[in-house]
Amino acid sequence: MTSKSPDLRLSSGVEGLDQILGGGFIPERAYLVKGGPGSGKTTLCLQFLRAGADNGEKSMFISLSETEDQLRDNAAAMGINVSGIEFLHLGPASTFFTEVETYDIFSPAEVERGPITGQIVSAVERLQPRRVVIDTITQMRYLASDPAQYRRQVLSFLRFLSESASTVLYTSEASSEAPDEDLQYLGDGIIELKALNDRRTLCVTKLRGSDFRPGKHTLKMTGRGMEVYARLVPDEHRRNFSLDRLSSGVDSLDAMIAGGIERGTVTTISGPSGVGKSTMVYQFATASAERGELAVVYSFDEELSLILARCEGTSIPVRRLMEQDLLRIEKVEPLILTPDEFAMNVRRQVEESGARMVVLDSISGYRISIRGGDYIIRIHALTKYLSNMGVTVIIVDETNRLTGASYATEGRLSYLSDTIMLLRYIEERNGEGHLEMGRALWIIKKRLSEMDRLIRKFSVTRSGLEIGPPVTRFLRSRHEMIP
Amino acid sequence: MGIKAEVEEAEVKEAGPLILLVDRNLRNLQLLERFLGNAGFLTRPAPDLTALDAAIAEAADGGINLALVDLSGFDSLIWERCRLLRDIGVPFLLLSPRQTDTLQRQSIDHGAMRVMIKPLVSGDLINILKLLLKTDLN
Repeated sequence: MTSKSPDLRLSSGVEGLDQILGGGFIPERAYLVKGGPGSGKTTLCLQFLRAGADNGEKSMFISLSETEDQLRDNAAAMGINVSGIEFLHLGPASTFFTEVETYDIFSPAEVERGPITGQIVSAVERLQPRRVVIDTITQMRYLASDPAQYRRQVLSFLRFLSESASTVLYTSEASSEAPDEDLQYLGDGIIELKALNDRRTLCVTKLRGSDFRPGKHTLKMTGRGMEVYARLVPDEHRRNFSLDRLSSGVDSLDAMIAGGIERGTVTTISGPSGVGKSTMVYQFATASAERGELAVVYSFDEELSLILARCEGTSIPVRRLMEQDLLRIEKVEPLILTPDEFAMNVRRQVEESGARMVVLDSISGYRISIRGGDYIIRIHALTKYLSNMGVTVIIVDETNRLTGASYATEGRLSYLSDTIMLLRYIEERNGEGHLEMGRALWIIKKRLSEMDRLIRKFSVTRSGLEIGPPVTRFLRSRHEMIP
Repeated sequence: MGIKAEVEEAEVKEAGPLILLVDRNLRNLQLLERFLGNAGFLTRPAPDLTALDAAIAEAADGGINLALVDLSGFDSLIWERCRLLRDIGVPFLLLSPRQTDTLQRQSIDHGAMRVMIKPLVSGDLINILKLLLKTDLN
């Protein structure tokens, strides 16, 4: 409402929201927080004031509905400390209901507006707050005789607060009977909160004079208040790194891929269940850890105990490297995380713990476990971010067919993969003429180097992964592999 | 007229016209007193028929410039008092939550200047009172 520089920002009290807003709210402006009941409006407002109080700024909560005691109780339940926040309750007291007579000579607009306005003006002039919350401004609609007067009153009220050097959040409860379109034009920004089924989102739809991150971002209510997980924007993150070849730790496998996979690239290991994808993944992950570079494996399907047992059976030193905190295995429980939360978790591993390799095991597990959104878009953003940060990505992709021809990947990952390794079962006759199920490895894509174009047998033994000789012929059948 | 009487008359004029407020709802009475008082009118409340009778008896010698009579909560005896107000020359407005043909007829029969429907708009009420009393309180 005034011409304060957009470079100055006030923290919203919610880290993720600050990221979405480009650093926080522009001071001395008014922002509409809209959403249905239970969507988190009051919690956001309390955190906004908490951040102000923590910063030594005078902060005032003007409530037109909930009492101070209710607000304090709710804040305590959400783990928000409200000390240092001034409350001004202007809703009806309980005596309003118990009074024998209520008036009907004038409308409530005539009777209540004057005293309420007077109390607000008096409190603002006395306290001179830097941060003000009005929860909810919708109540003022009932203090106006018509929509035009309501609009004038709200606009005038917000100007009064802004001219008093206050940054204002005002909430609205829109309904079909009382829509709040008019309010959306009055503020300098709009934050929309939604709680739909079991998913909460936050969306900034307006921020006058500043850019912001559009789209729906994940919102969570926790014992520490509101947490917002901003959508990952890969291009905001970049590090310098060299495209070193990273060994798998198995010479014969490295030989197939010109010495290794390149740092900061995406490798997809594709194949049917039980063919050895995870063993190959842990081979790469432990090789990274052995170089002293932290590898993080997100396991969507398998429990840690199973992973440890299998790796011990193939001499892959997962347990030792985990104990040295060079390898982390994060079991992702189904339907707990949203894509934004998962991306935030990955970011923390990269930016705070220094992870240099990230494994997603598997993409179908990710698709089932991570709630909401088009997973391929989210995976694209995540892998792009990791690549920009010089983190090597390995994605496990489970295919449905046991033998024979198939897609390179089932998860539509080919376009974002720099390297694709295809593991397959093959049917072959042994020396006695009996049918046997063997395994074959086929490098079908290597964007940054030459590769072994031969399809080779491989096996998983007690001493680890072993790459064998080329496959010379397949059993002729309807499952014949297409070269 | 003696000096004392002249002074008293001047004080009344400065204080503004006196309006009799007839309303069984005490909250309504409080609000009317507040709004009209802020606008410069003097008011006298009458929350029941006894108080109204007393006011009418005193007003026979003058003093009440106008009456606002809220019909809500009164029975048909209120019409008798309306007639008395008319008879002693006190103009009055009737207040009602709704307009009906019967009310319209009764109000004319008993000499009301007009019927105003609640809730009132305070600004409109003040303007009507000023107009009726031909008073400039500014």
